[in-house]
Amino acid sequence: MTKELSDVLGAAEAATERGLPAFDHVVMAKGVTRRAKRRRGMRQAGTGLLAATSIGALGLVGFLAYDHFQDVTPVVTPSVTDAPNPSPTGNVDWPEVADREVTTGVGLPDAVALTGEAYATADTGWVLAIFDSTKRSNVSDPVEGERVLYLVSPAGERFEVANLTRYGAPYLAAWDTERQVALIVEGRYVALTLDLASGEVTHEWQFCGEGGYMKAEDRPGEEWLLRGFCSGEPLDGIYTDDFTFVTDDGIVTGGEGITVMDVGDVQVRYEFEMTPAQSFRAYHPDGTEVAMQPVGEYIACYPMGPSLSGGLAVQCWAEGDSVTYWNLDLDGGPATPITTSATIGAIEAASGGSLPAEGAVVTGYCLAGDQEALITSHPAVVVLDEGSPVVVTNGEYRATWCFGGVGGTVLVTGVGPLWTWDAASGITVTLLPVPEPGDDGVWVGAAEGGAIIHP
Amino acid sequence: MATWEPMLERLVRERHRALIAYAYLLTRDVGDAEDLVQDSLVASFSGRARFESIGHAEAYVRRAIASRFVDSRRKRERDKARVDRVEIRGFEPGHEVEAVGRVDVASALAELPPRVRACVALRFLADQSTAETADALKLSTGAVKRYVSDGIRALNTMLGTVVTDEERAPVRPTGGVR
Repeated sequence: MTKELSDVLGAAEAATERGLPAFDHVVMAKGVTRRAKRRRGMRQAGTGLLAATSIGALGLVGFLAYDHFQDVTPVVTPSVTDAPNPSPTGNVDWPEVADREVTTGVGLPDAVALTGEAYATADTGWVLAIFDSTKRSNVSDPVEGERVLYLVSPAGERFEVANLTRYGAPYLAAWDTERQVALIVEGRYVALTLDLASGEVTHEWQFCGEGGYMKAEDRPGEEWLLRGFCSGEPLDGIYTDDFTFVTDDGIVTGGEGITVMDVGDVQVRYEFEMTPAQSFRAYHPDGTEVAMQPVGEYIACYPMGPSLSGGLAVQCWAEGDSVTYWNLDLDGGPATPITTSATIGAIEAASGGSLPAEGAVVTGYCLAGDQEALITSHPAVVVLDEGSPVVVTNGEYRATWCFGGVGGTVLVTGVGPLWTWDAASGITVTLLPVPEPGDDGVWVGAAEGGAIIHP
Repeated sequence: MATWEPMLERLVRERHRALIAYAYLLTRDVGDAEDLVQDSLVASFSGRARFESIGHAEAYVRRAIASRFVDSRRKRERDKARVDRVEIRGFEPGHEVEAVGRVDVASALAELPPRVRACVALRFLADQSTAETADALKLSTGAVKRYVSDGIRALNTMLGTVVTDEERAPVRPTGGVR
């Protein structure tokens, strides 16, 4: 007799439950309760994973952004009263966070000081970002402005976490979302950890006196995976909050001109200015090392991060050609295209003939849940849904880069502003706006300090 | 004691095993299922959600489990190797699991892509509507319909089952899926 699928699945779950070993539910409940309490506001070890983008890629973005700046960016004013209700039952004891001033000044977005509620409820889709209100111009030197770290809700409500103006060029490298601790790298010299609850820098480390490079990823507990170099020597390893070296066992080391990225549990090492066949190597956890097949006709490719198909997404270019994106296989199989002629055709069709002379320039690639998004220099975000490109124009901003995504939402930046774009609804939410540039060609402010979206 | 704590303790006491079983059908690894359930419980009870009943809380946690499962699989991507690795600590599946159809149910589910598996689990094991499933997994409803349709077709082929309930037999959408 044929059975109903729902009955079969229900029976399978019930049978699985019966076959499970015994659990100590008292201990289990205590453990879960303790973790939930900590996450509601207390400091606690936890897990997370977010990586900073590379200096090289940012350089390209900066170049493209500078060249194409022209869009007007409306300001979204945050409102505490617009914040989500803390609870339908009311009387919620949000954790206390330290009082802090709200930085005001030309070019800075409206914001309120971080609240206990925002601190405790920051979850998937919330964004941590640094805004730099430095005045910039095509014709004169920049004029230093305030630099502020904001926590921003998915609805665009901004909460000031800390003023970082005393740091020259702070870049948000990693965010431990369980403990609410940020790791920030200042230019090429200093790394620091900052506690969101207190708004204070908890540790500072001058990792290179001569100017080096560092990026970071959160690791379980009070540890970070730091990758970078100083004077050509790699820094790669696990470090504690106070920047004490713990270990580099199992970590593929990089160095100057070498980038190492994690793709799942595989580490990919990219060496700059090597021949394509020598550029990418995959180091699997079982110790095997695989030379990844290059993309044939392209003179150079640059690693972007994990791809939707499980490999490494790379940005490739050939002389006189548009940038294209490819998936490199971690097991040494042939590269497969992410951008295709269909993708480019869709971009061109959506552009209505307004594409710049060089055609569609694809500047960024991000995973956002089960979607992969290409960011183009045309004001559009291209989302690839299993091979079928969907182009969504964004009339407000010119997109240049993405900082990642979660669940179909892409965190996108342009020349200054920062916003999210939802693949399903097409809705954009402005997180960090910039004012319209004046007639003198001077504009203020940019989300240049990096941004991370809560996974 | 905060108001949410008794609800959490009761949910763990009464429904923890069922939640592990549900997660196991997604992960096919008891250790992973335990981690998934714990993380989902923590996430569900550390946010702003307030639950009116155990059933309400369980449904919420089941959605969180499916959502986190899809997220974790996407991060690791290379899940096929994990699916093939069957290492279950002190666990023997019941006879009912092995006896249905040409292959056991867990193996059949493991053959489905993670998103499809999560959609099927939410629709058939968590009684979530298409809209609720789409919300939990941050997919469009069209995509959920397509994934569920794909899952049903594959499972019916592998398990020799049918779906006769119209509510549970989403029609494959024509045209775009967005």
